[in-house]
Amino acid sequence: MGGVELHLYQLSSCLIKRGNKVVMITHAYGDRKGIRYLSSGLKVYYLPIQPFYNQNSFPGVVVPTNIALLRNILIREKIEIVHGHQAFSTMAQEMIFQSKVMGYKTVFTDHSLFGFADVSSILTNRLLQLTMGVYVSHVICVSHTSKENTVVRGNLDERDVSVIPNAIDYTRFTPDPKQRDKNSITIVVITRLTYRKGIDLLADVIPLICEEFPNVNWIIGGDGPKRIVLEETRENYQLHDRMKLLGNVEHAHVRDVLVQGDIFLNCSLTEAFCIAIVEAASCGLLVVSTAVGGVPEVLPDDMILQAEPTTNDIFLSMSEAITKISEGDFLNPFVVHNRVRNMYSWYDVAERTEIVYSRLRQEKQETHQERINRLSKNQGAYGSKFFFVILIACIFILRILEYLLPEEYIDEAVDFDHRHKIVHNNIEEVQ
Amino acid sequence: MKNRPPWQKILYKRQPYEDNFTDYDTFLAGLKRNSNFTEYQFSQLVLDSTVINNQISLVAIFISIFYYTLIQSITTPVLVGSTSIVTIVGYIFSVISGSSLSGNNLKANVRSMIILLISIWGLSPVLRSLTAPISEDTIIVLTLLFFAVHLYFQDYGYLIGLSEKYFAPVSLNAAIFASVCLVSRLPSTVHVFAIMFLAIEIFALSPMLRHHLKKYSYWLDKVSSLILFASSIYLLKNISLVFTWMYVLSVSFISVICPICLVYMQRYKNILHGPWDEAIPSREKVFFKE
Repeated sequence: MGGVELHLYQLSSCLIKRGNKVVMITHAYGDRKGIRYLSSGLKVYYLPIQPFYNQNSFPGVVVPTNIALLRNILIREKIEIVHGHQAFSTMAQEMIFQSKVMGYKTVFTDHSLFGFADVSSILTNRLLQLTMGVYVSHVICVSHTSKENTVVRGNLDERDVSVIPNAIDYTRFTPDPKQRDKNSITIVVITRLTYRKGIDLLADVIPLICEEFPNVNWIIGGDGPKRIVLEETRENYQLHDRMKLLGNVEHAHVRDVLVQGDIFLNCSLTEAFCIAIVEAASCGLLVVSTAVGGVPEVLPDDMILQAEPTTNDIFLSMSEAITKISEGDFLNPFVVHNRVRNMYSWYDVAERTEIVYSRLRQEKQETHQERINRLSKNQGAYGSKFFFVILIACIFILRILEYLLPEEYIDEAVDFDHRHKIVHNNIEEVQ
Repeated sequence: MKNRPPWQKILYKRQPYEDNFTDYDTFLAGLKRNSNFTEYQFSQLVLDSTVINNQISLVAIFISIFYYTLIQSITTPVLVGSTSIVTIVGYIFSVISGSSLSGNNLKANVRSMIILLISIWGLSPVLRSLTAPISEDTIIVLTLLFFAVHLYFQDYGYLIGLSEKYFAPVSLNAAIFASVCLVSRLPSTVHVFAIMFLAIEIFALSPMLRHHLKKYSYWLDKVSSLILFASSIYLLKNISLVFTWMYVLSVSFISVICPICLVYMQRYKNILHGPWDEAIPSREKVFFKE
């Protein structure tokens, strides 16, 4: 599972445990269409819309079937707030727009950092400026750096952006020092092997460290286009017995790989919030990371060693980390785990998200005229006319739908009350 | 007045501040506007635009020489002779001024040149009949279109000295195809050979020479631009006044109007840098053993 999906699943589970009703809407995944219930009580609607590029569905913003489906779901489930995630998701943007026009309250969470200079950033920022400025009541970011980035690129009011960090399931990431190799120091790297994750820097640092410290071994998990660079490094420096490339590691097995290590290294070139280092710290490892994006805010200084994104500096920080571990100068892994327990938990995230939701409750409904005014202030001369046309089209389709499928005729969905779930011999009964 | 500890930019502690609190002292402290901004100077832009004008002039010269060949104003021996002289002079210049183009291997270069000439000579009959059945109007349109593509996709970065490798396959192919289109109207195979030789010299060989000339002497390069400009006007004048004016207008558009627009638009420049930027990894290995 990717980071965002994990975030969605955990956040929904905790919100449900706190007594809220959560429904997730997404597009079809291959053959998976329809409605599914997950064990946490979460109801997922896999809408019959196929992705058309890069796991994204076609943004049919004013396609009547999309609007009808969404309207149906929102009325059936008696939804009050629509929360969209991830700037890259076309479905999130589209549904936020449609639900806002239908009169629901909307929230948007941004999980990544963006630049300003290249074409894709310029276009995405323009779109997000519209979504976040006009169609969303509140924005949530995962770190303070992410908040600064979002405010600048969306041209937003800082008071409309909240910072709620990510979290991890610390019950799953517990330390196990017995798994470590006592005769050597093991460095673990688990990441996608792409340029963005600094694999070039990693490939430079590995031979330097291996030469300087003869009792250091590497475990590298993950796959991607830069895997070939690491394999070349292994070939060139004959590190076959000291460097293990595991390939893709499933999220369920990440903890088992992490506990084999003493040090975790992260060389990313950009990160909004790095969940990987929190997972590693929770398993008791000493973390070495590049100080980019939101990373300096995530862990206190005695649990992480930060470096500039240069080969030289990463080498220096790694040397310091290896010396610390070999001299026994680092905290006990269980002490580290307990500290991380108190830092990041999904219950905390759910509670803070609920504060955002309750703030929205008091917000008054915006009329169409007010929205049009905000739209014209938000976009330029041509942009506002274009989006205005889309807005009018959407309102028009909604009026037709209200006539053809009036609200009174839509059945209300039965709420699955999971609190009364009893498990007897693998049979689940509901009382 | 709440007595709470100062706000810190950290996520691992739950602070007694609401989640949308903004500490205006530190908020966006890392934002840098227009930091590495070098402003364009008008004179510099005009001088640098000569690289594009050179290319336009060369295309104009090629087309006019083709036209003169077509109406038999220039005879084939004169054309082949002058093209060869220009090639040899260019080669001698690059060898004398010590460029790395020629590779200091006279025999290999002469051999490859001879092979090239023999191939063009051998292919001339084929090239002549290649586009012969196409009507004249289509030929004119195709020629103009492909020369436009050639001008658009040319590697100006290499020509102006910014990069060291010439990489513009689209533009070279477009230029050669345009010359093949033209060549089908010529009276004999010898004419075809002469024009194709000229085309290869202008479009395939001259970029390297111009790149080297620019690196060797800035002012010599500017003088050569003037010479090309003057020659184009002189050659086009006798063909058609309309084309001469079109040429002059396009050159002045590139050299005068475009720089003015660019300098005017500098006021809208808004480069933003901050801690969210993707880092540029420095892979320099400068490490010291203690």
